[in-house]
Amino acid sequence: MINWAQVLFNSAVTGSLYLLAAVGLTLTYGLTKFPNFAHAEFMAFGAYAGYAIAEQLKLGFQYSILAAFLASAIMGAASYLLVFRPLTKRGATIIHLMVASIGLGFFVRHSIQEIWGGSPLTFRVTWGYFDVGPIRMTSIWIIMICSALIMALIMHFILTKTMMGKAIRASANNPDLAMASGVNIEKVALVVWMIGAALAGVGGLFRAADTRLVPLIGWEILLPAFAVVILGGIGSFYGALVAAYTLGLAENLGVVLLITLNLSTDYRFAIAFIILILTLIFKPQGFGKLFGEAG
Amino acid sequence: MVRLVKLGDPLIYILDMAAFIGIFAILAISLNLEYGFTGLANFGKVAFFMVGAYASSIMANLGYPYLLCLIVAIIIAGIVGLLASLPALKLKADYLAIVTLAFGEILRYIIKNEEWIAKGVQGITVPSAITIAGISIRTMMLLQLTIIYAALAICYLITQLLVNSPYGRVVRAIREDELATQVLGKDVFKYKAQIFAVGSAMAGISGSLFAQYVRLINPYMFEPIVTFTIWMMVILGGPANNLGVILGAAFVQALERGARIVKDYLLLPVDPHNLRIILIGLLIIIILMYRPQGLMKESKIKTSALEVSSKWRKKSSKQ
Amino acid sequence: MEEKILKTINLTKAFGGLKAVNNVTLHVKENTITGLIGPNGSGKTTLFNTIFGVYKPDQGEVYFKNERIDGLNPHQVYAKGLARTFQTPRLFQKLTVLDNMMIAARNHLGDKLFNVFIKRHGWSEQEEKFAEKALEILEIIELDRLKDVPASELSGGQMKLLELGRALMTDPKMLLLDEPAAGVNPTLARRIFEKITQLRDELSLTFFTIEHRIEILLEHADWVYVMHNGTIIAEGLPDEIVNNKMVVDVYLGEV
Repeated sequence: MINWAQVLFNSAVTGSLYLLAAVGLTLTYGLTKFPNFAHAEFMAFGAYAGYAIAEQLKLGFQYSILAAFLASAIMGAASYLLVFRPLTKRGATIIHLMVASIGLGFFVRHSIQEIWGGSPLTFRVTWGYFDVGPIRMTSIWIIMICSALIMALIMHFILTKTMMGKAIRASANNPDLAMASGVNIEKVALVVWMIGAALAGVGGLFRAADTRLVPLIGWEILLPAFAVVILGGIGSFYGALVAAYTLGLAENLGVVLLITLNLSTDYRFAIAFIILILTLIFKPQGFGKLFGEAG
Repeated sequence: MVRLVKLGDPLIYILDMAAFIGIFAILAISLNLEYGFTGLANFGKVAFFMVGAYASSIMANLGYPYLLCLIVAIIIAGIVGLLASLPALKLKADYLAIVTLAFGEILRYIIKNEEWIAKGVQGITVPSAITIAGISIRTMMLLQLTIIYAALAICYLITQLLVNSPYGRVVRAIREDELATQVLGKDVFKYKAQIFAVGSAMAGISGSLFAQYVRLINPYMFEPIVTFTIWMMVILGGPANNLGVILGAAFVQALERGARIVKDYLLLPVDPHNLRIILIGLLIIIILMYRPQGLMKESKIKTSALEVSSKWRKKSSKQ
Repeated sequence: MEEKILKTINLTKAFGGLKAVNNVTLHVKENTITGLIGPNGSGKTTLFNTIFGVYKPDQGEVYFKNERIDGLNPHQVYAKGLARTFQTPRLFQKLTVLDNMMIAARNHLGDKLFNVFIKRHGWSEQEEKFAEKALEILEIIELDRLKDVPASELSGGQMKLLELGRALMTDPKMLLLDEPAAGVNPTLARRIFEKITQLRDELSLTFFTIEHRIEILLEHADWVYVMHNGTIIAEGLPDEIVNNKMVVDVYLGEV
């Protein structure tokens, strides 16, 4: 007997994680026009910063979230200012930028490994299970869903009601026109890189708290994050919103299917990859068209 | 990765390093063909390396002679490359990179989870290509190096022939401007598919040699980091210069082996492996920033056209 | 020879809701220099792209030497004997001037994968012949001393010339030239068109050329089409066009 309520709830959890991970990726991809593979390390760095606060300094988990947010924001800013903006100014091609992001990822990931070691780390905080009707949940999962939804509301507010938000949408849509209208594209880019990385950091922290922390934790979520970005339409926040939960649902339904077919549930990750490949080949704009312009 | 050599004989360490350099140089040349010359962003190189390794090993475990195993590896890797390329090559560079990366991961997941193929995460043992009984380790190593470097020489020659020809000129043009190349009469998609197939077949050679050299393979040896290590070799050495990428392979592999030796013999406060990769990551960014053409610049297209050109005298001055 | 070497019938190409090329019916007579003028954004380049298979038409047909070519890919259109240049030269930046020319060679054995290894002698000879031909063309357009220079190091005017030379190298029956003299100084522009006229006469080539400067077309064109908002609004002899009030209005309106 399949507990559909549980499947739906799990989908919401997965979708929330993917949303936090993908928002930054889709916005920077849309703005700077290349897929940033170091985004995985934005997630990892936030998780490790959070770990340092919670486990090493023994402060509360709420401070971890703040630490993850800030640490990754700084990393995002540094990546943009020290690596990607200079490279773009020197005429780097998309392939150059992608390879540079791989190099940056190596640099960060192995620095992390040098400082914290490569063995799995766990958070002391235990998230006890409790049942709400037919659904089994833990508090970290509730936190993840709430964080994602609050973030989505805040982003929606920012994108529609603030100057910066409108500037972001204009720049993603038509950078030349935006510049001509007085938008400081570089400032917009910096803000996008910082916020995007910060959210990813929080996402990474949640995943680490939910499972365990290893240096490759970012890469575990990176390809599904790309799937969300492509499915939702590159540069589209609202597209990512829909795509993240769609993918979460697809993945959890897929797990049900895998179990029924007696296949390994390891393949759940392949679901995201397959959706990614099929989207790129058959409908590369993803949901993007539905939402018109970016954001 | 599995360490083949026992401690104690420094010559063996050096020969071991040379073996890995040879194996990875072939991979580097294959990526150079795809990216350096044709401009294809193949982020899934490890997949074809893996296919070659597993195909060759399964054949070897069935008792077939090594040459046959090698040929099977080449054919299967080439075919997989061709099939994978058909849907993917119509995509732009960034999409191609993501798709090839995802494809490699899917293949790895399949090998990891479908234990009937090759025992999944346990991995399989592989017989060596050299089946002469009772030889010393040194002799064995020298024979291995002979095979590996013979293969490298052949791959190098084939690639050089390809790039120093009108065909090579066309693929470089594809790299520079696909539309212009189409308008000048070349079926761009066909060229890209062919290059991808050749590059994948070459990766299969490398995989086969690798498997019989390290004697034990499992899915953990074929993670994306291998692909990106090859990319570093190409970027460092110089895209579109085969000698350059061989040098790049030597440098990166020497660093890896060197780090291993340091780790075994010295007690340092830092892990040399991490240090090595941190260094490489940094180096990649610096090279892309300040010398994107790499160590050695792009090689010229050397055909008989060059001779004609150098002997050319203006018609108006010929009397 | 009054043969209509190129014909388009009701050719239409739209992007989103906008019809860049709207029901265009025209023909180019063999061995002429036919001009295509119109304000920016009138769809001239899109028309060329649609004829050459870069875009598939939404509607309509294209005939080259009475053979239908709409729906073909660009490399197939090339095979029929058409060549084209781009408004902003699309040269192969890292390749030398000579290599840029060599790629355009038609039916080169060495282009095929297996021939690289098997028929080495055959294509090696072809290389030499094509190199001679390339150098001859380069001499005509006065770029021969730059043969070993990477295309990225050429000046703007030299790039336009190379773009033209490359098109000539393809041994075409007809060339679609997109502003072959745009951005070069007036003397060079005149020389380019004098060469084009020379080639029309000496090699019996046909040229369909987009050009902004009506004075140049006055001197060299045999027939002119005027395009505006995706449709042909006028056609005729150059002096008819220049005196056509509607054409003048359209141009002045755009200024």
